[in-house]
Amino acid sequence: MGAKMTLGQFLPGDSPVHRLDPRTKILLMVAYIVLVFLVGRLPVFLLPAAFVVGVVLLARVPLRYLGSSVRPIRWLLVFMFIINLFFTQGRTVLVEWWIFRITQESLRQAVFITLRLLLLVMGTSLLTLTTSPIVLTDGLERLLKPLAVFRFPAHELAMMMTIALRFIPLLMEEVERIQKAQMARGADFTSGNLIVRARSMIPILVPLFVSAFRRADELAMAMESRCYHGGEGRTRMRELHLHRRDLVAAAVMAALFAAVILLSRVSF
Amino acid sequence: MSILIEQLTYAYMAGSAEAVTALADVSLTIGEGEFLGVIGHTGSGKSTFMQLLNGLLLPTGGSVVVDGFDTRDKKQCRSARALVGLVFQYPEYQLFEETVARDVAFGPKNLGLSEEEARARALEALTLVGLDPARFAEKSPFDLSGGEKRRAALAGILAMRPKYLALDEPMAGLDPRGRRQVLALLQQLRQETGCTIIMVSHSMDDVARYAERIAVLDHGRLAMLGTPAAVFSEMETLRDMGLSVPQATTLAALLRARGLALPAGIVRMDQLRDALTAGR
Repeated sequence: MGAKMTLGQFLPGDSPVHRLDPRTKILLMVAYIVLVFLVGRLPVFLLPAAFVVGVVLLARVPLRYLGSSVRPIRWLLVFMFIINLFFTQGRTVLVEWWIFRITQESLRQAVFITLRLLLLVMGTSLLTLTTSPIVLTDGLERLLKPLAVFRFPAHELAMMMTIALRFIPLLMEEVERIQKAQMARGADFTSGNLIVRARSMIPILVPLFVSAFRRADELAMAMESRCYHGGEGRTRMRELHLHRRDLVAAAVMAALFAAVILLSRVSF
Repeated sequence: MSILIEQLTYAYMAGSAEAVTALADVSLTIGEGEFLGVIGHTGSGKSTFMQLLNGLLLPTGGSVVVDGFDTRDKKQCRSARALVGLVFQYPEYQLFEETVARDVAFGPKNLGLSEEEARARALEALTLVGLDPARFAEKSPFDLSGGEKRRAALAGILAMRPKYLALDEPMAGLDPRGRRQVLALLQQLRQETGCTIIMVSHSMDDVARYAERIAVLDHGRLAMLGTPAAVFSEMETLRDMGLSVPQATTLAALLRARGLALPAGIVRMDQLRDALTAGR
C-alpha cells in the first residue's frame, strides 16, 4: 500500500494525445463507446482496435499499462466468454458433451462479447492514462455547465471530484500511519477469522474518520478564508481552448463512425 | 540487557529502482535505564530509526536485537515489540475507543491480559500520566483537550509496561505547559520504573537537560554519539547539519568571546549559572 497506488494511473507526457482538449477527449471517449457497440461483424472490430493502437502509438503509452488496465477484469472476461459459449442458443453444433453444447453461433457470440468488453476497457483507460485527473475534472465541468439551466451543480461536482482525488493519497498515508501506531500497541490485523479481522479494523477506521472530518473542516475553513463562494463568477487559471488538433481528432472519429456503420450494416 | 544495533541499514522500497536509503550503517548499543536523545535534521532518518527499534520496520541490512530478541525473526519480533513501547508523533490521532480507560486498555489486552487486569493497568497508567481516573476514565477520548489527549495516548503505551520507551517528538505541537508536563512525566517515569527512554526531539535544550547520551543522525548516518557536553561542543559541525546547540551553550560561547573564562561543556542554564557564580 502507499505511494505506488495511483488513481486512474495517469501517465504524464507531452504527446498530441496528452495535449488534446479534455472536453474533446471526453466526447471522443463517449463516441468511442458508441462506436464499439455499433460494430456488427467480427472483422469490423479491427477498426476500433486500430484506433486504440493508433492512440497508444501516438501517446507513447507503454503496452504494459494497457495490459494492467485489463488485469482487474480478466476474470470477468473469462466468465463472460464461458457464459456466452455455453448458453447461447444456436443450430450448427461444433462440440457436444453431456449437457454442454458449443455451437458456431455461441462461439461467435462469446468471441464477440469478449472483444467488445476488451476494447471498451482498453479504449476508455486511454483517457485516464493520458489526462491528469485535474484537467479531466476541468473538462467535465465545462461539458456539464450547460446543465446549470436545470440547476445541475456542475462546478460543485467538479470541485468535489478534485478534492476527493487530492485527498486519496493523503488518506492512504494516514491509514499507514494509524496502522503502524496501533501495531505498536500490539494490534494484529492479519490473523483470526473474518469477523475478528473486521473488528480489528475499528482501531484504524475510527481515527481515520475523525481525521478525515478534521481535514474537511480545516479545508472548508481555508477555502472560506480565501473567499471561495462557489462557481458563480469564478474565472479560471487554465482557460480551455479548442485547437486544430481537436478538429482533426473529431474528424478521425467521424470517419471511423462512417466506416463502422457502413461495414457493419450494409451487406455486399 | 540492552538494545544492540549493528550496522543497521534501511531502504524504503528496497529492491526497486526508486529505493531510498533512509538509514545507513548505524551501530550503537542502548543500555538499560539510559536516557538517549536522538537529534537530526528533518529527513535524517530519526523516525525510521525509531520504527526499526520495535520491529515495525525490519532492517534491510544489519540487525536490531532487543534483550536477545532479533527483530528479523518473526516470533522474536513479537517479543521485541512488547519490550519496546513506541510513541509516534501526534499519538493522540490513534485514540479510537468510547472511553479513555478502554482506549488505554487496548494495548494490555493485545498483550493477552484479562479484561480486569487490562483495566487495572489502564487506571494505573492514567494516574501515572496525571489524568485522574475518577475524572477521566469514563470520558470519551475525543472530549479531552489537546494536552490531555497526548497524555492519554502516552498512557496507552505505558499501560503495556514497556522496558524501553521510544518517543518520536513527544512534545511536538504542545504549549510550554504541555511540554513541561510531558518532560516531567518522563523524568518521573525513569525514577519510578527505571525504564530506558529513547527520545527524538527538535529542542536542543530539552535534549541537553534530560539525555545522558545524544545520537546525532545526518542523512541516515550516525554522525555523532556522546554526552551532551561532548556533542554540543561541536557547534560548527552541528550547524552544518542544520542543527543548533542549547541556548546555554550559545550564551556561554558569546560570553567566552567577550573574554569571560568559562569551562567547556556547558549545555544547561544551571551549569552556566554555577560557572558564572563559582568565582565569587
